[in-house]
Amino acid sequence: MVAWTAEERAFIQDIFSKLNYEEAGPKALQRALIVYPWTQRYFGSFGNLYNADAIINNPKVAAHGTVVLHGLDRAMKNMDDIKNTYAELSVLHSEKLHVDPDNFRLLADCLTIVIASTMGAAFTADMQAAWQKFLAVVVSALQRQYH
Amino acid sequence: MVQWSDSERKTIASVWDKINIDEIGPQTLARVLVVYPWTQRYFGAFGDLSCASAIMGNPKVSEHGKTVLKALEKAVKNVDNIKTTYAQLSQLHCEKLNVDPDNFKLLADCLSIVIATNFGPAFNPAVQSTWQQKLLSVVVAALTSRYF
Repeated sequence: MVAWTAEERAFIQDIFSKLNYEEAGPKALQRALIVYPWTQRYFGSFGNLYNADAIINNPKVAAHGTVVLHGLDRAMKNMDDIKNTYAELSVLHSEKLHVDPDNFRLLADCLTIVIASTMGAAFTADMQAAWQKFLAVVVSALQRQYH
Repeated sequence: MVQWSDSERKTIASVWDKINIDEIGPQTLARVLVVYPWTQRYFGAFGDLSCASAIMGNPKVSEHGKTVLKALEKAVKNVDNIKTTYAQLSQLHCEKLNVDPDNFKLLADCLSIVIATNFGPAFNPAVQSTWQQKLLSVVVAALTSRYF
C-alpha cells in the first residue's frame, strides 16, 4: 500500500481545492491531443480535431476533459485505496477502449503543466513532488488490469 | 537532421526571449533535486540539500542552474545543429560526470513546469508542442548521443 505523509495529503487536497474541474479537465485533455497528436485516435467520434484551435473549441473534448477530472477526484478522496478505486476503470480502458497505457502518463503530465500554469509559483517544488507521486499511483492503478 | 518550420523557430525564439536565465535556471535545477531526489547524488559537493527549503536556498544549486540554462541557449541559437553543438557536453556528462542519461529528460520536464508556472496560459499547447515535445526532446537526444 502506498504510504502518504500528512504533508503530501495536505498538498494533494490543496491542489484539488484550487482546481476548477470544468477548466482544468478540458485544458489537460486538449493539451494531450495537441502535444501528443497520436492520442487523437481514441476520439474518432469527437468531430473536428484538425488543428489546435479546433481541439480547443471542441465541446466533446471539453466535456470529456471534465469527466476525466471528476474521475481523478475519486483517487483524491480514496488516497489509501487508489488501486481498488480504479479497478473497473482500468478494465474499461484496457478491454473495451483499448487505450495504450503509456498514454495515461502523458495525460498526467499535461495535467501537471495545466496546474503549474494556473497556480504559478504557488505550485512549489515539494508540492510538485507530492502531486507527481499521486499521479504516478493513479497511472499505475489504471495500468494494473492490463496484465 | 531535424526540420523546423518558420513558426516553430519563431516560437522557440519568443519563449527564449521571455526566459530570465537567472530565475528559471535555479528554479529548474532546484525542482529536479526536490522532485527526483536521487539526482542529488551528482551534487555531493553542493552542501546542504537536506530538504526542499535547503535546496531552494542553496547558492551552488542556483549558480549551477544558471550554468545549465546558459548551455541551453546554445541549442536555441543553433536549432539546426543541436547534435554537434552538444557533442562535447554529451561526452563530458557521460565519461567524466557519469550522469545517467534518463536524468536529462527529468530536467527537461522540470524546465517545462517552471516555464508553465512563470508564463501561465502563454505556455499554451501549441507552444508546449514545439518547446517541450520537440526542442527539448532533440536536446535530450543530443546529450545522450555520445553515450553509445
